[in-house]
Amino acid sequence: MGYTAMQGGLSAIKAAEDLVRRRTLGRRRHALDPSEVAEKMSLGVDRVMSEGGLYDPAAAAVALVQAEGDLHEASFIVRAYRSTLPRIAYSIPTDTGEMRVLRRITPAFQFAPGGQLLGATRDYTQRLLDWRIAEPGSFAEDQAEPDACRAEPPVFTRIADLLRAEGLLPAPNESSPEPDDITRSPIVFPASRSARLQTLARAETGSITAFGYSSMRGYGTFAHGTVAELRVGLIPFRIRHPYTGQPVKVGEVQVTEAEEFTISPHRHPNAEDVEQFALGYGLVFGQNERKAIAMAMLDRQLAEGGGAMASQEEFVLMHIDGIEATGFVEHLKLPHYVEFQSILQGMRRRRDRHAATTTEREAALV
Amino acid sequence: MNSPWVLRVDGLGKRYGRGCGLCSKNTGPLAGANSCANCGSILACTNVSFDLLPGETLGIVGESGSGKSTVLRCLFLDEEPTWGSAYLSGFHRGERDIFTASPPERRELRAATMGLAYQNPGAGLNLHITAGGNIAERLLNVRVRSVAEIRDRAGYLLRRTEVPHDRMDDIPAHFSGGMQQRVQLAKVMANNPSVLLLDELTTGLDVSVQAGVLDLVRELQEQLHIAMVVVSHDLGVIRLLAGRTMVMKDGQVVESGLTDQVLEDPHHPYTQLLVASMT
Amino acid sequence: MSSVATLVAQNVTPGRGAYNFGFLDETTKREVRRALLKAVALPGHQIPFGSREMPVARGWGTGGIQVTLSILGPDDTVKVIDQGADEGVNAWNIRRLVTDTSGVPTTTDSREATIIQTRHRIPETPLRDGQVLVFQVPMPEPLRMVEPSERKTRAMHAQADYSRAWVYLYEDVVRRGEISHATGYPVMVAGRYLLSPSPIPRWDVPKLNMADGLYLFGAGREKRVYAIPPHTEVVPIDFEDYPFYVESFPDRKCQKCGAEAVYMNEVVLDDGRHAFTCSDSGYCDSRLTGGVE
Repeated sequence: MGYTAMQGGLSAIKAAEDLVRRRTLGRRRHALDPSEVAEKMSLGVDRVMSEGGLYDPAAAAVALVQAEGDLHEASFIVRAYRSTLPRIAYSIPTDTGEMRVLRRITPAFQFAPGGQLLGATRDYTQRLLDWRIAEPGSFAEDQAEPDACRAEPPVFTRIADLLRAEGLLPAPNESSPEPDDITRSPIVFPASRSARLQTLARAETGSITAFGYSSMRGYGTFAHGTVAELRVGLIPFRIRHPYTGQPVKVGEVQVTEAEEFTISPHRHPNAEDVEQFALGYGLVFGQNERKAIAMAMLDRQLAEGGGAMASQEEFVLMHIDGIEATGFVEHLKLPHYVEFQSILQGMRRRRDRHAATTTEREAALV
Repeated sequence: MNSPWVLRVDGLGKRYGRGCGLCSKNTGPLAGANSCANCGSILACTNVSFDLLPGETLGIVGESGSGKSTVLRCLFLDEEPTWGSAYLSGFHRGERDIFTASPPERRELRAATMGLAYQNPGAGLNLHITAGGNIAERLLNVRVRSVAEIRDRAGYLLRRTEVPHDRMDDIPAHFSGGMQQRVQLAKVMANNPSVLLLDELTTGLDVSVQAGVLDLVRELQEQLHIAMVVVSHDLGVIRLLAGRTMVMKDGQVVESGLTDQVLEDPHHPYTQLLVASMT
Repeated sequence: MSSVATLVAQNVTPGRGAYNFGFLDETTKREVRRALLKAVALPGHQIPFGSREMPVARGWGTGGIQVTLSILGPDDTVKVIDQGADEGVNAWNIRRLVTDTSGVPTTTDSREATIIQTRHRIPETPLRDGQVLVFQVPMPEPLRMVEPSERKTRAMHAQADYSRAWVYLYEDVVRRGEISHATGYPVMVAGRYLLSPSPIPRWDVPKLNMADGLYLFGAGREKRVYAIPPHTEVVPIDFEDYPFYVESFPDRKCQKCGAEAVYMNEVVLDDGRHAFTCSDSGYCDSRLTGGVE
């Protein structure tokens, strides 16, 4: 009957895989070099690490090559790889104030201690398609060192601390409870802030940007906040030594951190305490500034609550994960003929019943 | 021992906000406010007590913000009261405060023992399931499991509330406000509740429609002898329906008695003003 | 690009690419088994678990796969079906994940299997004592059709507040003259919890009641497992005057094995005619090779 779901499932899969492999290898019969991808498509690699929830640039670069550049697919491969790795230890909380800063801007002040450090950004570059990239040897004479910032990256005071010193921002809650772990216990509602932030940190970049954007356009609890600080840099990663119990630095991860000042719309007119800003927080793996900013916005939206979509915890947190969303949407490609047969039977049964009653009615009229 | 009342309310009160030592001085009819000027808390109602006798209708009258709807919402367990207790003769023989009921007991009380018709029919109905389906929900709650039985009962209730039979399978979102209100009445009546709570039933309806709805409630009173608490800002409605009346202002009861007495011989200046404004 | 087996063989980078028996690490498997024990102890109750990402997409059976891999031992024999068929591409993909990471034997004969993983069918041959049927579940929440909020549906389950599910059926009767809900028909388990049996056709629903085998349900994306232990009462919700019924295939015979009274696949041939075959391919095969009546 020539229907592939009935026979030859395995050979069909193998043939499909073979076609994919040919595409991955291309006419030159070799896959892209993942180390070159990691170096030159680092923002894509960063997205894969962030959405995949695993800090491993080498693995993310392999995934990106394997997925033919599909960022969703690459993140998914990385997440699946993550499931095979036993959890050996939990890291000790890191104060991101220790960050070795590669880029740091503060839109809230013209000048702040440490100054504005633009770093590597396209923000103020005209986005003109540069055809020279396609011409071999175009940049041969460019002798610049790849590491523009050879000096030791600086460490800066946080902008938020300036306002804390003035009493305009609450001190960080030092007595935070042990954070939830959404990879081990599924999120429950109402969600803890740690569960919220973890979910947002792994969110799909496009989805989180759209949710954040909707909150700015009026489908949110307040129009918009002020980005206090956006920084990209390296933070130390420490665990407790299994024998001595002492903190040990085991590496560094590159992250993007965004902090946003907002004013609560829900302040009571007769509240007795002094009014303070609230801080929205975003932290994501790699350099991914739009995601970090959107995360900080949604952190506040979800804390304030309200009727807007972007303020509704279940709506945002249950739909923002790219791997869950694409998986379920694309599962509609799977065969559904058993269910459809059942639906079809009902439709035919009702059609026949309708025909029978129509005939009866017409017979009665005659 | 059977209690002489079907519903007893004792010292009921509801505060929104954290409250302070000056709240009681800053609110109430003497202060002319229901919110505390010091801490901003709102004392929606305080110290409300009454007994509701079988077959009796008690009216609660007052302007908006007087706390009368809050009393109903607390009794229907939509809101947690801050103070006080309430007893239903059908709940643990009237010996247990309904505010201490467990979540399943609360569901049972709301589904079978009491009925609340909200001022806004959208609050009491799902406007996007059929009128019959709305009534079915209450019947299904008490384990009716036959479509024919549900439709018989729904048909009867809709007839009683003067909703045309052919609208039973239509969704209330397509109905006029008056008809939505009548469907809501049919719904709350579905399980023969022992106490019916009616919140501003006719507010917002055309005068001609109001008369029909009020006639219907009177008929239900006369034929089914359901005990009711009727909340309204309209003394005309209260006079028509209630044998006894409580007058509320700024969260407190300022006067109560037989409706005729209250209307003929109002004692409190606010009641006098209300009565005077009627004529 | 490669199956797990080739990755294991290639051992991509030193120290990487070596997979544990059953893909998941042992602590993860233990965690899933603990959730399953709880599920068996509370028939029909949805148990949250720390669902892992699998090398198969969310929504493509990851819940069932995690359950299967967590209960799998070296002595097991596994059968994997999708829409009743052993040969489907998705069934193959899941089967080779199981075998590539565990080396256990597989079968298409449901009688030989100790664990059967299924997407949306229950085999025609009744399960026997000791067999486990693992369902892949896309939407574990039977109340989702009437209530989108997880927080609210959990409270509704806690209070056994199912009147809105009944209203849904009532509305169906009013609108269509019958309960049209086709697959994933909601059932009451042991008189306590409303459960979605995953999108199996109605045909399979009666097989859930008082069965000899164990039914385990895994929903990966939604992070829930639940169970129907052997000899548990499972009743589809219906009305006295609109009773539950199953699909029927009157006068239809399987074109291959001649079976009647089985759930059928309807296929449209190149000439436009409709033909019917057993949906349960393993059952069909064993009738052809003998051994099954």
